[in-house]
This record gives sequence, C-alpha cells and structure tokens, in this order.
Amino acid sequence: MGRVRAWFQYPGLWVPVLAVLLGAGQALPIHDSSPLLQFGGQVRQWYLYTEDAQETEAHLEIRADGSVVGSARRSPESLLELKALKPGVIQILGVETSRFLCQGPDGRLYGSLRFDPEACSFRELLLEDGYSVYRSEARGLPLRLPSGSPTTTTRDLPPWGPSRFLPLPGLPPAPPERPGGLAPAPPDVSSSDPLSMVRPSQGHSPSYMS
Amino acid sequence: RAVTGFSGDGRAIWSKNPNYSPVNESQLFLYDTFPKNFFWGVGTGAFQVEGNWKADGRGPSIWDHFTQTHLKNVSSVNSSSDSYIFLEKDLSALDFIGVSFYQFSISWPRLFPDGIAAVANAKGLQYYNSLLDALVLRNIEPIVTLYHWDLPLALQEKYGGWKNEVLIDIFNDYATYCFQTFGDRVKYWITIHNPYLVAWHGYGTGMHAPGEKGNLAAVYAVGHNLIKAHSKVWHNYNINFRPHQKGWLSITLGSHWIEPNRPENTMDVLKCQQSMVSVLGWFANPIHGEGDYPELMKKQLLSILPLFSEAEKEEVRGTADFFAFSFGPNNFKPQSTMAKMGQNVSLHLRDVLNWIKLEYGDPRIFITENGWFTDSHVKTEDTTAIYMMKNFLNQVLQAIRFDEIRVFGYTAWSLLDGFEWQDGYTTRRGLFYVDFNSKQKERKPKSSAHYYKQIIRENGFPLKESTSDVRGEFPCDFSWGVTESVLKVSGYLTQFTDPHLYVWNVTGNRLLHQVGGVKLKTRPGQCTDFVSIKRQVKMLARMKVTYYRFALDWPSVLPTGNLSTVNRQALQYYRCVVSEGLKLNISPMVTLYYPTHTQLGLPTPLLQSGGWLNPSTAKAFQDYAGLCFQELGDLVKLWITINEPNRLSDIYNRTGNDTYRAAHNLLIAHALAWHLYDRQYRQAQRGSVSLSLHSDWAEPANPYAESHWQAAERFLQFEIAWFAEPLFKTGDYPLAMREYIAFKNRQGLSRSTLPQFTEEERRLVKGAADFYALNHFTTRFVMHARQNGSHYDTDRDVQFLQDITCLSSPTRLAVLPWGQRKVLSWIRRNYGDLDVYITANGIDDPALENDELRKYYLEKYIQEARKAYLVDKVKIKGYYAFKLTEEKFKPRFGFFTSDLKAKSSIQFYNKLISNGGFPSENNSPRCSQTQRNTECTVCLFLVQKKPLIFFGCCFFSTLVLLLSITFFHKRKRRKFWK
Repeated sequence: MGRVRAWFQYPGLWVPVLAVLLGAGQALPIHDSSPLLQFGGQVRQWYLYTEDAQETEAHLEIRADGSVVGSARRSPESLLELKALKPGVIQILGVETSRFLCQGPDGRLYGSLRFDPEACSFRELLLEDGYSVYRSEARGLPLRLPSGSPTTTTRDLPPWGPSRFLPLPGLPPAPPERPGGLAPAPPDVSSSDPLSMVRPSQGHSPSYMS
Repeated sequence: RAVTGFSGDGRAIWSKNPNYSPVNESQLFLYDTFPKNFFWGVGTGAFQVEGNWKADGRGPSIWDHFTQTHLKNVSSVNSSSDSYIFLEKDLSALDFIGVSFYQFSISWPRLFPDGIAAVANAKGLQYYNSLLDALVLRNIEPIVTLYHWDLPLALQEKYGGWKNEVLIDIFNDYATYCFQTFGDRVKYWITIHNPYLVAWHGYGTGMHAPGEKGNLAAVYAVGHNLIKAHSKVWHNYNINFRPHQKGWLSITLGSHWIEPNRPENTMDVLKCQQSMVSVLGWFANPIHGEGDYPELMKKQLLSILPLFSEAEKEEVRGTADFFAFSFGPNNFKPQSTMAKMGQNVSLHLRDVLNWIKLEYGDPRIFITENGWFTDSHVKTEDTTAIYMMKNFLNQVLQAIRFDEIRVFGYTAWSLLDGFEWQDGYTTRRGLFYVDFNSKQKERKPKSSAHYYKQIIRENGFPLKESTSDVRGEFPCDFSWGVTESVLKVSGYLTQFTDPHLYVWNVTGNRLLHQVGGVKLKTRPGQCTDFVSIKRQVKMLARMKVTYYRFALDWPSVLPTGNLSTVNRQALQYYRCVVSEGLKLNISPMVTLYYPTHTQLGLPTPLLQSGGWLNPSTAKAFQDYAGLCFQELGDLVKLWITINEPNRLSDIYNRTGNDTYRAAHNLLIAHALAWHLYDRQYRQAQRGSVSLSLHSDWAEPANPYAESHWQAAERFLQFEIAWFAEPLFKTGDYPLAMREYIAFKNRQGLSRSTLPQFTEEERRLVKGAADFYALNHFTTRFVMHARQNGSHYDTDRDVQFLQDITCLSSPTRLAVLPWGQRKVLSWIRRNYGDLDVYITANGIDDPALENDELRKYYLEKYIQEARKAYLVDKVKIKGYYAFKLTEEKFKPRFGFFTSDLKAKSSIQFYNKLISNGGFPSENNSPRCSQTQRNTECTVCLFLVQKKPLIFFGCCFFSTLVLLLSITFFHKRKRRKFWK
C-alpha cells in the first residue's frame, strides 16, 4: 500500500521517467544500424579465366544442368562468386545458376545445388605470375577444365586441360562519365551566323529533361 | 625597331591553362571602358563603295575586268553605294556614329587611270581632296589605305601585275604622289590592305582579281613583291615625309584563327602554329619580325619561296610603325583552301591578339578591319551583327585589360553596304543599309550602327546597374529548399508483409525455400524498411535545407488511373519520405504530377484514352489529388498540382489546337484539384495549393527593333500569361494571345484556335491558386520572326538568340541573373501582390566535383531574388534549388551526381542558406539557428544515450522505491515501538 502511495506522492519522480520511456518510442531519423544495409555492400564476383597450350581462351562456366565447361566468351553462367571458407580455402558459386563448383573423386567437375564441404572446397595457391591453382581440399586434385568440345566431356573420361586460372573481376564498373561536357563545335565560318546564335526553338525545359 | 618576340612563342596560346575556370573574371563578359583616347572608327574600301568606275576619267581596275569576266551574276558593280557621288551622305553617316576616324582607300586608277603617277585625274583628285577636307573639318582623323586591291588594269596587262618587280617602283611613285598631295591632312597611312588575300586568292585560287590560279611560285612571288613594295614605301615615307608630316605608316595584315583538335597534343599545336605562320607569319615575320620568312614556311615550301638577301632582310625588317590587323570573314573563305591542317577554325579575336603579342614582341596594335557579314536580304535589323560586334569588341577589351595587349584603335567594317568581292552583293557588311537598286542610295542606319554609336559614346561597356549590394537578408521563416523530380517507389515491404516461413540455404545453395503449411504473424511495415529513403534523407541532411520538393508518380499510386486500385505501398512509401524528412525538420512540398520527355507520367489507361486531350483526364486527376490530400495532407502543407503545364506544349505539339486543348484540360484539372482541397481539406489541413509555371524571362534580342520588344512581350504572354492570366486574373486566356492568334488566322498563317471557357469553367479557374510558383532557369533573347504553320511554336512568331558573350551552360542556358528579378517584377505587376515561391532554379554544370558554374549561378540568382524581395517588395516565400540528383547521361543539374556523389556546390548552398541568402563569408549565423543547434545537441545526446538513460532511470526509480519502502518501514516500526 505504502509503495503505491509513495509512487503517486512524488510525481517529480515518475514523470521524467515516463517521459524518457515515451520519448524512446517516438519517431527518430533512421539509423545506420538498419539490418538491411549490411547487405548493401558488394560481394566480389569473378571470372576464372584460363588458356591452354594452344592459347585457346576459356572461362569456367557452370551450367544449369550441372555441367562445367570452358567457354570462350564471358557469359552470365561464367560469373562466379569466390568466398573464403577459412584461410586459403574457398568455395566457388555460380551466380546465375546458384550451383557450387564441386569435384568428383575422379577429378571431374560438376555444379551442385548442395554444398558438400568435401567435394566443393578448394585450396587456392597463388602463383608468382598472378595466376592461381585450385586444389580440392579433401582430394588434393587440381581444378582443371575438361578440354575438347563441351558436349563430349561428361561421357568419356576427358583429357585434362590447363590448371592455371586467372581470376578476373566480374561486372566491371560502367565507364565513368567524362568530367567535362562536349567541346563546342567549331564555328561555321561560311554562315552569317557562324556561332549558331539564332535558333527557332528555345530547347527543352530542364524540368522535362530529367 | 627592336624586336623582342620570337617566332614560335605564340604556341603558348594553345597550351591548356590548368587554372581555367568558366566563371573566372577574365573569362566572363567584361563590363569596363576602353582606355582614354581609344581610337574608334569605321572603314570602307574604295572599290566596294565608290561605284562609278567609268565616271570622270577613272581608268579600269583589275576588279572591273574580273567582275565582268568572272562574276557574271553581278550586274550593278558600277552603281554600288555611289560614294563617289554621295560624299555628303557618307559624311552624315560618319557624324551619326560619332567616330574618331574614318578609314578609306584611294582608288589608284581614279587618280592615275593607267597606274603611272604622272598627271593626276583632276576629278578624282578633287574627290579625295574634298573628302579629306570635310573630315578635317569634322575633326575626324582620316586613315588612308593606298592599295585596297583595285590595281589599274593597265599595269596588269602590261607587266603582269604584282608578279612583276616593276610594280614596286610604280607603287612607290603613286605613294609618293599621295604623300605629297594628301600628307598634310593624313597622319595614318596603310600601304596595302591584306596582302595575303591579294596573293593567295588573286594568284592561287583565282577567287580574286586578276583571277589567276594554280601557280604557287607566282603566289609567293606576288607576296614577295608586295612586302618589298610596302617596305620601299615605308622607307620613302620615313626619310622624305615623316620629318615634316609626322605621320605613321603600316600595312594591314589579315588572318584567321585556329585551335587544336586536342590541346594536349603537341602535333596538333604545331599544326596550328604552322597554319598561323603560313598566313599571318608570311608577311608579319619579314615586316614585324626578323626580316625573313618563318622557318616553318621555308622548310615546307623550299625553293618555291623567294629568298631575301641579307640586305633585303635589313631593309624589310621593322617597316611598320604599328601592327595593323584585320580579322574578318574574308580570311576564312573559302574553307577548302584554308590552311586548316585538320584543326578547328575559331573566331577568338582575343587569342589572335595574344599570339601577335607573343610572336612580334608586344607591338601596338591597330585593328584596321573587324566584323562579320549578314545575308543580303537583311535590311536594317541586323541583329546577329550586333552580337558579333559585341563579342569581338569585348574580346578586344579583355585583351587590353587582362592580357595587357596594346590595342589603340578599332575599325568596324564597314561603314556602308557595298560590293563584297567574290560574293558580289549577296552579303552585306555595312553599319548602314543601302538599297543598291535605288537612285538616291540613302544610307539607313542599321541596328549595328546604333549599337556601335552607343559603344563609342560610352567608350566601351560600362556597368549600368549599380553594383552596390542591397542590404538585408531573407527572413528567418524563409523556406530554403531543393527540388527533385519524380521519386520512383523503390523497395517494397514484402519481407514484413509476407506471412510465409522460409528456410535459407537448406541445400547449401543460399536460396530461400518456403516451408509449407506455416503462417506467421506479420508486423506492419515501417519507414526504416525502405533503404532508398535513407539515402534520400542523408542527402537532404547534407543539403541543410528546410524544404524538400519532390513529385509523386501518378501511375505508381493509381495504376488503373481511377480509385478502384490504390497502391497502398506506394502511398506508404511517399508518406515515409515525408515523415522521415520531417524528423530532420525538412518540410515537404509535394508535386502531384511532373511530366518529362521520357515519361508523360500518366497511368496507362488514361494515356490510352487520349491523355490530356481527353477532358475526363482532368476528373481522374482530381480523384488522384483527393487521394493524395487525404493520405498525406496531414503532413504536407505545400502542394504543387502540376509542374510546368505551360511546357507540356513540347509534347502535345502535333497541332496548335492539340497544344491549346491539352493546356485547357490541365488548367481545369488543376482548378478541380484546388477546389477539392479548398472545400474538403483546407480547414483541417491548413495547407496551400498552386501549380508551377515555367517562367523564363524574355528580352528583345535587338533593343533597337520595335518588333523585337513586341516579340518579347508576346513570348511572355504565350508562355506565362497563358496559364497565369486565367488563374490569377481574369478566368480567361490573355487577350493579347487571343488577338494574336486571330491575327494569324486572318493572315492565313495559322488555323489554331484557343478554347473558350464556359461560364462555369471560368468561375472554376479564376482565383484557383494560393500562390505563384515559378520555375526559372534563364533569360531568352527573343526575335520577331513571321512563321507559317498551325502550331503553338509558330503561332507566337518568335525566334531565339543566344548571346555568345554571355556565360552559358552545355544546354545553352544563359546565366543572366537580372532576368529573374525582372520576371518577378513582371509577375507582381501583372498579377498583384501574391506570395511567390521560386520552385526550381538551377543550371547544368559539366563538372562532376567542383561545380563552379553552379556556385556562381546560385550566388547570383539568389542575390537577385534578394533584391526582388527587399527592393521590389516581391513577396518571395521560398527558394528551391534545382535539383537534388541527376541521371546518368543527362544534363548535369544535380547537387549530387548520378552515383550520388556530393558536389562542392552543396557546401556553398549551405553557406548561402545559413546567411539568409547573403554570399559573404564572415556573416555570423543568424535566426534561431544557434538555438536550434543547442536544442539539437540535447536531443542528440538523448538519442545516443537512450539505453543508458533508460537504465539510469530504472536504477534511480528502483533506488527511490527501495529507500522509501525502507523509510516507511522504519517509521512504522518506530511508531510500533512507541
């Protein structure tokens, strides 16, 4: 009883407390701590580029059917997400098909929807010339593209292609805009209005240009 | 005669100045006067204006012959302007302009019909004597050219003209006669006018008399003889006449100007140097330089170029008392034979003067010919000529004031329309118009004559308006804002409205998999869920504005165009934009409809049913506006219904009737929305509603032409009054507009008609706006131009002119701040003492970081708005800079780049805002800003330490509670013991 009485006897005590409590719930500008913003940062995406002795260029590509081939041109399927699992060990995910790059016991590569740590972790070895070699973490086999035409790769035991890859950054940023505008055109000196002062129209309103 | 310049130094002109700034004082139009006693004059060439080639014993010249054989279309050579007959008319023309000198040439064959200076033709002699006497009487200094291309035909036929060295002595004899006869009255002599054109076109291209072509050796032989002839005459004058006549003598050298394609490329720069050297250097190097041809020319032409012996070099060197320079269209013709070297020709007179200064050791320069031409159909309204003159003359002034170039005289070319050499009578270069077919050949002053007269009277371009700054600032409740176009709704709250449960990465592929059969409770979406709003708010916070103007996307809110489908998400998004801004004390000004060229901004069904040509769109707009008032009106106090309906004409431009019909429906739509607000929402929400009109100012391009004044006012009537008059004044379209369209109808030039307002519509529209909102960007120079066609653009009969001397942006917006003040006064004068909001004002600046042009623009335009507020008492309530962000590959109007990088104008605008629009730096912050800041530090502290404060309070209250319980308990126990 006394407790309650004390509570009401001293409004000077509870009013500020209440005010602070209410104030806390009031609207305030959005804070930096929005959880959504944590995903705003860009994940680095790469192409794995390689070339064989005949200097045939190829990009590692994970297709929707799970096959892994080398394609001469960069394609959405050859855009890969390389992510560290632990120091020196990475997983490779095809961005377009959401398949992980994995290696069978025979060294054959395939794209898997499931991440199997044993088959799909690779140890990355940087070479002096900037190229890298990837070895299956569990099996120790190097990551190699099957050589020859992509259609025959999955059936026969393929002859192996090169094992050195150069990671090339994916999605290069769009070319920056020129800092200055266009240079003015040279005057038309055969005209009585060489600097094109007179125009029939006033041009578009800036409001309408955006 | 000491020469300090070095051949090749001129190259420095083309190297890029790293400190170049478009708003640097030395680059802007210079308001200043020319040095005291600056020499102002006009010039003519005898053959161009005298006419009467057979009269009074004049002999034929090579140009008479050339005209007959080569210029078959030119019939009236022998009439021209008849200066030989109408001497008095020429003199009154000179009086009109108020020149300090008159430069004319003596017709060699008029004095000596066969060219040999023996007995002068009496009538010819009399003409020049009376001309000189009249000039002396008027205190006009005569400047006399001995040879302006009209070589006596006999000399051409007998000796082959200037190819023959004999001409040197013959010319010297003729000169001697002139010095003897006229030297008492003539203090300035020019031996030869533009020898480059004589040699190059007379003997190279065949474009000029005598019309020989193809023989390069002849070209350079002629040049060689001309130089030697000049040098001989100079020595002659120097020894025999100067001691008692005390005059000066030079040779007029003409040239073009050229700029490198790539200024950073040394090869391109070298080519430019080569181009200048092979035209101007050809004559200037021997005479003003070291007495010999330029090395670059010698290397290129090898044996074709004649040699100067050492004695000749010494003789030729320094034979000019000043540098007489000609810069006009003839040196740019024809482009095919110009020594362009793949580079770009240019009209930058200031740069050529600088080149001359560097190459020839800072000589005193006399501009003996400058100007451009107009087409032959242009009579006295030669508007382009005014601006060409303004441009050239201001460059001369800049050269004098900033580059310290010693220009002491300027010759506007020419006094009269006349024979324009290879162009015959197809172009005109006179300050005075002459009708060549008339008998009396009246000289009618053109606009350029009036303009030149004014410049001479004022000795340049003195600043007319007092620059003394107006004291005072904008009031504290002035709204400082920034404008943004349509905000696209981005990011939906699906993740919080979707009740399904998902499992992520179940197979390790990092995809979501829905779990069937489970439904979760959702929480209502919150503003914090929209990431894009956070970015907006962050930018606004950096702008430090108090108001944010943005536009809603009608199709997003009402995809079907009617209230049957309302996109609540979109409305919530916009509500969040508003409420998040309000938390930072940034109030919204919301635009309901903001059309652009890429997006008309109408919901698809409305677009398909005719858009604004369909009257029912107005009703649909009213419904949409009502929804927005209802949903956002509690937070939004300033509404703009439609942005720039007066420029939607650019889109509905199939016919004039389309344009007027669409405008009519837009007006009705606005009025309906306004009345709806007035009826239903105003009492509760207490906001105000208007529409933004594109309101650029218009000035007559040619202030000497009454038709241009009328065109400027007509432009304002068609552009602004078209919408403002019905709303703020009469409830009907402006009478001037109705009358002009009717006038065009009567002439059969247009079939357009303006819609009629019904009595009901008139009542609806009149007074349906709470304030005047204007988007102002620039001032247009307007010309009258009669046009045919039933379009809005042609109904106005106007054309536009870009003042090339004025600072302007890549989209050709001219920076003319005073125009804003003028349009504000015009609005007040026409529509009364309204509240005014400048709802958009800005410029495109190509710079991505240090946008100096924008800073300059903001400062000047806000200054003019302040003058309008303080001096003209225009009730300006707010200023909204245009605009917050820009898009990629679009004109750069933004304070932030397309990838949201801040430009330096933001800070500048911050400062202007905190000083109430006053640009100076040391102004102490005013208003309640300091108070608000302390307030904010308190609230910031509260926000940051929220958990701590909460915990502290809990702790404190528990402690108090505990203490009081203990206290009571003890007291009770004591009582009990008692």
